[in-house]
Amino acid sequence: MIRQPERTGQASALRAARCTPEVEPLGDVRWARIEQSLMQRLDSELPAAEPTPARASARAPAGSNAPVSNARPRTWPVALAATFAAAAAAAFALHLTRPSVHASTSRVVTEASPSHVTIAENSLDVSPESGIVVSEEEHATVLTLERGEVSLHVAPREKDRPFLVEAGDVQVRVVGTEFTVRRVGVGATVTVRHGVVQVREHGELALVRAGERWPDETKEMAPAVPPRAAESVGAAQPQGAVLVEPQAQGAALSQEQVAASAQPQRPVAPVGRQPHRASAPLAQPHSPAPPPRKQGGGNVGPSDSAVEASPAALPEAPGPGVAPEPTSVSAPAPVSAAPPSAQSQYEAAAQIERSDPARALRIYTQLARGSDPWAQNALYAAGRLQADRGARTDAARLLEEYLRRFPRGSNAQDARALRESLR
Amino acid sequence: MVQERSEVPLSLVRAREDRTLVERCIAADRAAQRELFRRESRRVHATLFRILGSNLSMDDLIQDVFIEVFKSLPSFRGESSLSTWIDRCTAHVAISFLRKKRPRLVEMGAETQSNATNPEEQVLLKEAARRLYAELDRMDPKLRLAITLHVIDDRPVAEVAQIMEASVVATKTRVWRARRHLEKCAQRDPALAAFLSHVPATSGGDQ
Repeated sequence: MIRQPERTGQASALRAARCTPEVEPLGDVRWARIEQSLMQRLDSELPAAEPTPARASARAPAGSNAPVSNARPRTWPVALAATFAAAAAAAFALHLTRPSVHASTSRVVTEASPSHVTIAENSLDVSPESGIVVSEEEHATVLTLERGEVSLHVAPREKDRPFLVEAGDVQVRVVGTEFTVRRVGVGATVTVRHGVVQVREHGELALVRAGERWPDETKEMAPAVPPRAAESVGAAQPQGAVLVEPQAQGAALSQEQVAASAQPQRPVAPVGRQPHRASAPLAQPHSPAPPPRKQGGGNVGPSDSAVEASPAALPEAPGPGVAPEPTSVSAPAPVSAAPPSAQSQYEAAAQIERSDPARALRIYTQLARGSDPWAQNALYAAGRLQADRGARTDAARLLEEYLRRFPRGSNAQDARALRESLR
Repeated sequence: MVQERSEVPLSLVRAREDRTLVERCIAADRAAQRELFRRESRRVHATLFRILGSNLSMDDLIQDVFIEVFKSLPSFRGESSLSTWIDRCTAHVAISFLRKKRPRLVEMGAETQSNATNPEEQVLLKEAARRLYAELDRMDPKLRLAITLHVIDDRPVAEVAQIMEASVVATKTRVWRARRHLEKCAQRDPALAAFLSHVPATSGGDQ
């Protein structure tokens, strides 16, 4: 048997037979995202003072030079549960409602289905294809929105211990209100349902009241940096931040807030007057239309980077001010002479998936009959939606059709995985 | 005229650089942590991929490896190279993942290297790789780790033993048992049998 001198030769033999699994490359954007998420996790799990040689050497076998095993951070809160319970009991006895400063870090990643999470008295609705990390820090509870969208109902909190939502370079400070934050490249959009929030971005402030969205897409200028560039830059170098500080509805503003509101303000649009996504400014009929959203999370493969890197690939690519509330946005309707584009129809269907899945499915199915790039997204989305609804047979049929028509489509891997899970 | 070269072996220079980088990482220097991530992440990904196959949790797993690396660096004594030590973290994370839950199997399709000109052969090879990972999913994590690191990731048994913190004999036994398991499966699976026919048996000469 012939062997390579420096290696075993077994893989070489396999390679000669051309059946070694080739490592599937990850795109630059995806690497940047992994790095960014890692750094965020390090910030929450390994702050600067964290390295503790004593602890590490205590856990590692003597002289083994072995790494400390099993670093999945989700397990250590369980081990310390008793300690925290005692601390919580003590806090309760002292009428302190704030959670333990040393509470855990939790991570929620959704794929095709949304998820509802309750953290203390706060409830979160994590949209499909989203990822969040919630960590308790000394002065705040911090929710990091890695991707996708999250709707929050935050119970009134003490103002010195806010609930912070970080979405890329945008930071939303919550004292107690109900609103939605959606990731848009390195920024975010905010939709307020209850209460009043104060938005700060690059020194500019705006008050956003219940029923309003920030920023106003009708007046908002296009971002100076295209989303692709912004995303990759943002992965390494956080830029300016947005601060949204909600107040109780009808509550008087503090002096600082009144002073802040006197500063230049960015436009805010009432939700009711928001132009529909299907309207002309949002549609991009002349631009190439790659997949508008990453379906299925996780591993998407080589084409993933192209999908994510494209401005149109982002859900909010048409403009920075669009923060639709899934349940309040209706299906597209022609608002001008031009019929709605496939992109806008797709986006509208995506928005009503939860409120009117049957209608969303009809739109997807209709779009899937076409031949433009949105057809493949719509076909996959139809399969995913049916899987979510429990219609396994129909879901499998749609996914099979997707794989037959678009075997190398951007959702092909997810389609295979989903089809596999349906078996 | 022959130019005089530095007397310091390259491996020592690398070890010295590693030591400096490790010290900065231990001090929670984010720039150093980024540097280490950028230097090693592709390799970590490749190792994870060969152990686990295409996996929907890959992004998280890569992060988990580096979280473990940064948490454990204070225990790194430089007795092995930093790369081997990181491989050990990778193996820990992979085993932990395999023990925790049944990984979601993703078909090995486009990611299977195949220069075969015959389309039929191409399909068979892809199918063989898919079957291989399907069988690996049913295997004990330690056996899986041993055979994937040795056969697919092409590492000598001694290195696999170092990564798995096991003796060479134990590692050889694991590879042998894993191979025997696959051979048993191959008896009723021609595609897998064709795949295994390309895998030479492990012997003492590959350490």
